[in-house]
Parts: sequence; C-alpha cells; structure tokens
Amino acid sequence: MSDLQARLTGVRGTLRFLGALVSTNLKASLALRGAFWARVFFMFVNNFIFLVMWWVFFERVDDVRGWKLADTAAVYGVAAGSFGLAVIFGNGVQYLARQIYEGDLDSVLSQPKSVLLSAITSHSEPAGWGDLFSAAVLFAVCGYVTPGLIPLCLVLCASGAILFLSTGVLISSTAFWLGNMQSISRQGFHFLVIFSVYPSTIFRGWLKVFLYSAIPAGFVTFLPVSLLREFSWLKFAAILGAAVVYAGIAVLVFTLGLRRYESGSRFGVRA
Amino acid sequence: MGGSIEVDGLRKVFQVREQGSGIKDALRYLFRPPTRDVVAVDGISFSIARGERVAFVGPNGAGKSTTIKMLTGILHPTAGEAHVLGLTPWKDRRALAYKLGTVFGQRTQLWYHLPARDTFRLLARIYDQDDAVHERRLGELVEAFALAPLLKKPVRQLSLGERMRCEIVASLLHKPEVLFLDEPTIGLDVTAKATIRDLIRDASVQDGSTVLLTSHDTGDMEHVCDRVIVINHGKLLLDQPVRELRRTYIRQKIVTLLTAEPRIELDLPGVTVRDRAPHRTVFEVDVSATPVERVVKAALELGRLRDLTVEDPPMEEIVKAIYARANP
Repeated sequence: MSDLQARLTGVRGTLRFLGALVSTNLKASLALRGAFWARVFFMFVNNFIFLVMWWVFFERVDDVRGWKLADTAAVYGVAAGSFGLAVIFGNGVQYLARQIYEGDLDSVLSQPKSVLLSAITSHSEPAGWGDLFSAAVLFAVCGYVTPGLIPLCLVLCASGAILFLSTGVLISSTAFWLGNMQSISRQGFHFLVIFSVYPSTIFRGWLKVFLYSAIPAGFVTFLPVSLLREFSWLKFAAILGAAVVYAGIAVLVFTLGLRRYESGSRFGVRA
Repeated sequence: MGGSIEVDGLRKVFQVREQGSGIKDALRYLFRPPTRDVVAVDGISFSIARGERVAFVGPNGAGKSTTIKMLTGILHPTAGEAHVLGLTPWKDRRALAYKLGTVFGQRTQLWYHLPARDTFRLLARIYDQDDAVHERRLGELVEAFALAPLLKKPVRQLSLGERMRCEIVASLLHKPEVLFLDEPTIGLDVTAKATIRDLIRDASVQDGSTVLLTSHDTGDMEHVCDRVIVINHGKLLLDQPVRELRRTYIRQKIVTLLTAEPRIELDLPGVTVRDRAPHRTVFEVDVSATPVERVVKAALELGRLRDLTVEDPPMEEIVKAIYARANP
C-alpha cells in the first residue's frame, strides 16, 4: 500500500470512528428520554428569556453605538448555534480537566485513536439541541439571514463550535501542569459564551484585542454577524483561519501535556 | 516461541504533592507545595514469551498497575526500556493498541446507559474492524461467554459479574495478541470469579494470546496462569512457575466454619485455629498434611455445619513468606 493510500485509509477509518462515536453518544443521551426533552425545552426557554430582556432594553434605547435588536438576535443565533454544536458533539471538553487531573484518560489511551478526539466526543449534552432550535428561530427573525445564507450560517456555527472546543481544550489542558482546573475550565468556557453575546460595539481598545486573542469571542460572533450583514472574503478567511489556528494550538498544548499525564485508580463508569 | 514482552530496568517515579494539616501548611501548599518522590516501579526486568500466561502479583501499591500502564503506553517511564511485540509502548502507542487488549477491573469501557452491543459496535470502528469480521468474531465470543441474554440490556442493569464478562469480550473483539488484565476479578463473588477465570484461560488458549494479569488474589494466579512474577515496593521479588510457588508458599488454605455448636475442635495434622468466635471458627490448613475435604468431613462428623468458606491466604502473607525465605 502506498503512503497516500495508507493515509486515505487512516482518514476514512477516523471518519467512520467519529461517525460511530457521535451516533453512540446521541443514543446515550436519548436513552434517558424524559431528561432529554426537559433539557432541550428549558434551554430553548432560557435563550428566549435573554432575548426578551434585550427586547425590553431596545424598546427604551434606540441603539448601542449602532447596535440594534436585530444584531443581538443574530449574535444570539450564532452563539447558540456554535455552543449547541460544541456541546452536542464535544461536551467531553467540559469534563476534560477533571479527566486529566483524576487520571481518567486510561481507557482512551489504550485505544488506537486520537486521545483528544475520543475524550471530547465522549459526552453529548442534550441541551445543545435546545440551542440549535433557538439558533434556527433567531436566524429566522433577525432579518439578516436569507435562505441563500443558510449554508454560511452553518459554516459560521461550525467554526464557532471549533473555537468553543479549542478554548475549552486549551484551558483544560493546563490541568496537566496545574492540577485541578475543572471549575476554572468550565468558567473559561462560559466566559467565552458571555462575551460572545454582548454588543460588539461596547468593546474598545485592549479589551477588543483581548476578545480577538485570549478569549476569541470576536471570531465566534462579532465577525460572523458583520459577515451576515455584509459578506467579505477577507472576514470569512479570518474566521476560518482563526478556527484552524486555535484548534492547532489546542491540539499542540494537549499533546505536550499528555506526556505529563499520570493515571489514577478511581473506580468509574462511562455515562 | 518468540518474545512477546521484554522489560529492562523499567522505573517510574511519581512526584507527589504533600499537604500538611495546619493552616500554615495549607497556605504554604497554596504557593509552594512541598513535593516528594514516590518510586512506584523500581528498575524491574523480565521477559514473557508469546502465548504465555503470567500473573503479576503483589499487595496493594506494589507497582503492578503502574507497570501494566507503562506496557500499554498509558504512562511514560522515568527510566528503562520495554518492548511489547517489538514496539516501544509509549512511543508506538497507537500502532501497538491494535494488537493489545486491556481490561482495567476498576474502570469500564462500556457505555453505562446503553446495551453492551452498542459499545461492541463502536469498538469495531475504533479498531477499524470490517463489519463481517466483527459479526463473526462477536458471534464466537457471545457463544463462548454466554452473552446472548445480556446483549440488549443497558449496562447499568447488569450485575458486576455480567459486566465483567462484557468487558472481557470488549477487550477480545479485535483478537489481540497480548491481553493485559488489571484486577479482572475485583469485587466479584466466588462463582463469578471462577467463571471469569475459566473464560480468560480458554480465550487465551484458543487465540494463542499472551496474558499478563495483575491481581492481589492468589486464586486468579492459580487458575489462569502458568507463571508468576511477584513484586513489592516496585521491585521484583520472585519469578517462577505457579506450581513451584504453590508448592513452596501456598500450602495453606483458610477454612472458615459456621456451626450450630458454639465451639468445635479438630485434631488433624497441619490444622491450626487462626481465629475463633462463638459458632465461628477459622482454621489454617496445611494442605500438604491434610486435604481440605478431610477437614470438612471431620467437621461434619463433629457437628452441624451452617456455612463454609475456603480461601487462599492473602497475598500480603505470601509476600511476607517470600521475604522471610529470602532474608532468613
């Protein structure tokens, strides 16, 4: 078998593995039917409570430095879509710091597939479906999304999901050096959500730099929403480039940290 | 037989953070935690031929699991070398994983809310197994392990013994050349232990696979393996055939009798009282002097037996005996 053929076989094997893992994951979250529907419903309601608050706000204030209710709906749409995809397919990232700290990666380390992919795709959060439904409704009502822009919305949500997961992996990987980082990694993950849904026009100077670097909220929602308003190849490339760069850094840091991994002996179950 | 596992001077040191008890220590721990080196594995060397079944035994904290984790590539060693099927585990982890099966008795690879069948299907993808090959292999294992009634039950509804049967099938699906079993019978009752031991041995004989089994249960070693390696405090204490260890160190059985009578006495050669309470007597039996069935027969002649257990001496006692023999 030539080198190229071997690589193609490897890629096909990885894709089939990911497909099987995602489907097993979905089956596991659907196994508890009542809890599944409750979480989907309450996440949907939760997202709209925030939107109603902004609606009340914009009833009294015309705009925030040019930012209107339609922009808020679009931002919530991209954020909910990205976060939904991230937690449906990669909610293991929210447990990663604990798995590292408690030495709980043994079972994925003894298998012949990527440890990071296996770890982050090992859990699915049903509430993510509530986020996805919210995103669909928000895109429909914001006024920026025409049917022709639906594929672009999907790409933007996918790149946002990669940015969410990369941020989660980066913060969680510090557990290899710093020990118990579980609550900090969760806070960091939700920090990104919070910054992603504020009007981008209120951020200036160093804070703006911060939101396009350490916490990539700018690439998750601000740039995507401006892209939905007015398409630009440069902005599109910047968004996809940021997703690739953040994912690359996350994989690198995780791989470096994995050499420091110390297995644990806790009794455990796979939920 | 070619070499399956070669280990040379393998060593693993963990750096452990130590927290004192007072508030001063707690503050110090916050900024500069004091650390201490703990040697888990201290330069052990051994080799295992293909198809051999070896028990890797020792008391808790002896370094058994750490060694297995280095041999599967989960942990990087501090020093030393190891080759499994010609590969260095921590460098060629993914390539080696296709040829290894692992069972960690304290962990599970089964999905808790799903039937085991779903995990088996996922494992076929993890090991890039062709669908037809997977179905054929699963069929063989389902028959051998009598899993048919369990395949559609969610794992959370299985007993520990049933779950362990599924775990072992999960580790054998890709027909591994080497099987690492870390405490596969931990927490199981006597019947389940016996079943699991038979299944592991039969599977290894049928597939010609090498088995390295860690346990602190001497029964696992006696029923599954031909050779035993004993370690304690990370050092290799003994490496010999099981029958020799049995002859030298496991001559005793612990027989506990619960009787209707408050007290019974047995006057048999090699039988001594180890512990006694009303209606309960624990005997230590030297089986080379008196076989267990003779003890039971004598007890039945003396009184009414309510319950009876026969156990091997704890691993700690065997290790003590090995120490005593090595350092008279």
